[in-house]
Amino acid sequence: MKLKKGSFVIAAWIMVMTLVLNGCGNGTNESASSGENGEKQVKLVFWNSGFATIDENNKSKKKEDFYISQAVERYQKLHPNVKIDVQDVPSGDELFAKFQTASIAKNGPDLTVLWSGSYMLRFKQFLEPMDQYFTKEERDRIVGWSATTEDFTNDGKAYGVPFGTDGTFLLAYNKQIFADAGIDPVAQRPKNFGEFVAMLEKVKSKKVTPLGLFKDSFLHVPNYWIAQTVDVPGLGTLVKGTTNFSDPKLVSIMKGWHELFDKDLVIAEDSVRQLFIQGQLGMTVGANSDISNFSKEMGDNVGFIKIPDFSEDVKIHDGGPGGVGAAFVVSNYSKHAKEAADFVKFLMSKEEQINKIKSGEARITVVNDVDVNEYVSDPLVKTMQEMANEPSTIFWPDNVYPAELTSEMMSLQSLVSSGKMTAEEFMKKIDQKRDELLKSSSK
Amino acid sequence: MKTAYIKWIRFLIFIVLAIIAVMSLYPLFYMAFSSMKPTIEYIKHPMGLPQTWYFDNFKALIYRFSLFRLFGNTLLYVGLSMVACLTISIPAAYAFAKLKFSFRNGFYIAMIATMTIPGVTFIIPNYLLMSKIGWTDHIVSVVVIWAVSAIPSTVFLLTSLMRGMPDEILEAIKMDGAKYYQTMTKMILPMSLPGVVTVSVFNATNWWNDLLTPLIYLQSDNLKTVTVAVATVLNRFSSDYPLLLSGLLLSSLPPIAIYIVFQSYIRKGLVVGAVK
Amino acid sequence: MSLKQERWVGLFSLLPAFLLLAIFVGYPMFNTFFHSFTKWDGVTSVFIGWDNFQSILTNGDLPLMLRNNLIFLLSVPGILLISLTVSVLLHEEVRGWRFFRSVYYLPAILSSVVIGFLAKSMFTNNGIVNTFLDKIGLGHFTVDWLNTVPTEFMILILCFYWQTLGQGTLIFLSGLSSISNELFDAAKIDGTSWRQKLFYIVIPSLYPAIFYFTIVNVIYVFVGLFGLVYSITGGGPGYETTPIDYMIYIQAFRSGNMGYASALSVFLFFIVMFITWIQLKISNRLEQ
Repeated sequence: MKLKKGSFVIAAWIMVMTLVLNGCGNGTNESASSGENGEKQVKLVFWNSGFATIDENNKSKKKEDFYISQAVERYQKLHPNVKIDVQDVPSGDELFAKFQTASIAKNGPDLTVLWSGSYMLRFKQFLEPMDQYFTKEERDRIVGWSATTEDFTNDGKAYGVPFGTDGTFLLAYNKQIFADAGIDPVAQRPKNFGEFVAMLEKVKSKKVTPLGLFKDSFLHVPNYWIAQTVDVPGLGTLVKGTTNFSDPKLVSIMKGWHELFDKDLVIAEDSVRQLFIQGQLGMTVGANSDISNFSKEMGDNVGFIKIPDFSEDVKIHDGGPGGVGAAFVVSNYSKHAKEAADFVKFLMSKEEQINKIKSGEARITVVNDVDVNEYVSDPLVKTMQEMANEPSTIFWPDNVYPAELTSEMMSLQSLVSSGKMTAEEFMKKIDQKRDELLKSSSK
Repeated sequence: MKTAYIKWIRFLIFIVLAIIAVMSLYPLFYMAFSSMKPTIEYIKHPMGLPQTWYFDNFKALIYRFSLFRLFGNTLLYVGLSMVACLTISIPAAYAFAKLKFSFRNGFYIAMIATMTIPGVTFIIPNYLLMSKIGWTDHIVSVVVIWAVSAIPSTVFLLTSLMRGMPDEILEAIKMDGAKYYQTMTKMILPMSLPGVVTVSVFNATNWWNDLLTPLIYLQSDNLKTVTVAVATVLNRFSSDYPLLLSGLLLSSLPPIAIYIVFQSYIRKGLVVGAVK
Repeated sequence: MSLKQERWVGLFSLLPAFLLLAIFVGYPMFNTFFHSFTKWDGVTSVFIGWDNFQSILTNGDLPLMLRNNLIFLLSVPGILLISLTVSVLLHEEVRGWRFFRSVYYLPAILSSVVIGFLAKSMFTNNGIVNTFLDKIGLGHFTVDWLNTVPTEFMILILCFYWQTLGQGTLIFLSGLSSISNELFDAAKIDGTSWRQKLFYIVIPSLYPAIFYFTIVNVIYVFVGLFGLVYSITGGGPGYETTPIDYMIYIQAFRSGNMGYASALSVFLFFIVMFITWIQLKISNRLEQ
């Protein structure tokens, strides 16, 4: 009788157990994937967050028509014993969380694409060093290794392979508005921050907001000014703590950042693309894809300049932030690291890079034995490739800083722009945070 | 005069409710309108009405994703989690509400206490656990995590509703010699149906929108849920917001449908009088 | 059923729930407690005693985060009041009330990404809110909503309300409909006023629902709000809108300080547990 009373509970319990056991049974089947026909079958899991699987301009493109599907197809034909399982994953924070969790359990992919620099180096303990797989020649034909090496030098120990380039981050301007204000930003390119401000003030006198920035533009504009002032090795010493952010030269950059907001020369919000296309903004920032969108919509009325130098005595003139923003990484717990690296090499080969450009999914490339101009006719793309290849393009400064330092900067910078924190205080806080990080990592 | 006054009041109530209704419908319309805009148009007029009938975003979703599979997966996981969660929670809630046993209050507090820990804390320990059992990349991981994480709040809601059930009727049916099972199916379930449906709606919508759990535990493309698939629309090199919004719109249709179907039960189940 | 049987049936009914909770909540909880005393990157952990807790208390972020949590906590009575009012109004069954009732739950179904998106585009400098203010001649009230802290909180709370109203009306309506019509009719005959009806019949019979709603949402603002914060303000400017649970996420998944994140979770757990315990005490007293 007791049993009967509890039978509902038992029934519930049994249901759960069947569910659980059922799950168990299926689960074990999947991992067994080797040992077929005598030859060793290798299955590579590739978490794809880099290759396009959506085409803004051709929405009826099928999944198998995208470059990565076809490249995998070609590779598998060449290597019948390798099967590559491409799993699309979100990028950014979501991928980091997923990669971190899975890697702790040594359960992650063989291969994936992570944001370069400190974003990927955070996971160093899970990444396979790539040097052993690339010969000197193989390495030399790819540019941008500094984004993947431990010490941000071109020949350091690399934990990833440059995936592609973001081009150079530029300022786009509305020709009409600038003509009305009587300025030609190309011919009268501002030589320093003071001239830049003067130019923006002229635009403002025409009752147009001169400059539109995104909420994260701090990482691209003032951070670039910091980078051009100290050069990339200088960024390295800032991170290592041998030099300080509270250097008066760098503090003056933060003062400039405040000045832009204080004089009402800039708005920072996520709708600036909209305002710019509608002709309500004199100038805005943009990477590759924004720039093509602008020129598509505004035609001849849009022009581009590089971000003006902060002062005349900077170390790198007429440059811009940009370069390799993402890198292939192979996990060090992967049982097929060698095969994964081979697949990366295949993707970086001359033929494949050409295929990629021909597919229209990449405009510019990181290998120096492919001339983009042979395959594309758009003059805009040509300009972008030329700019990307210029040595003055500085690899994204925020990718050099440890992620925590970047997030501290991002959190505090808006206090500077709104005047709640002085430039000196800000830089001191950043130094403090960096010292804290150094201390906790040496412990 | 009094009726005129009441009419006036009722009209006022209507106006207030209608305004709130507009606010509630607004996000849905926003998604629908945005999904019919090409990217540039969305950048230019994020708030306006679409200028043309443009369905390419939906086409892209259809070509790009195996929607049938994604929706099937998500429905399956949500359904299984719901069954698992309810079979475990209903008896527990009944015990907390109407049975007398030692440490009842202690257990009750302990159960509520488990709700007070932020879910992010559990991700890594639970993933390690799942990977030791070998359940990662398998539906059971998501179902178990979803079901278990919903148990405390489900029990909590059902207990507070069941406490309101009249003891006399329970005593009467006990006197008739009804067994636990009969009490459960003839009395408890029908009477708590509105609560069960309500809490299931809460759970189902939470699960459906949950990105982190399926994202972390599942890897294979053929196990993915809609929410995870939609999150892959944006990446570093593309910011096709209309496409994202179309995906979000599409993925929110099933939970809306589920809700509409279920909410009629909330009404029907309320007939407490029928028990008398 | 004798008392003795009842005891066993009772405990037996709890068994599956507690078994599962012990594995998938108890174990990670224990794990978190353990790691809160370590420096842990997910792979190796080094025991460092109370260091994590000490740095929580001393590194200066805590007062700010507590303030932010407090602001969110104080917003709960607001949504309680709104939900109650709306439910009572719906219960009047004016024209179209069924439709309204269905519609109110929609924002809860949509993911916080959509709500965040929408809120952001509504409140940009030239978004519809400012445009509207301009048009009705209140141009000088236009604000840079997304760049000042008080308005950011306002937007966050607005979105929280937006997504919670449906839940509230659902709960309270089902509570209301269990009040028998006779009771209402009796009140009518007695000539009780609308307000008396509300305070002597409606609210008392809704006590369990009100407590459920309050407790669940108080817990929610402590441990569940981070989706909205993530998609709307990202916790900034500074850490001005960062609640504790968002900080846990940042520490664990952006900075990789999982030991510190664990300590913060333990810390948060005790705060929320304490508040919930007080609420349960009050609810027990009121129910008696």
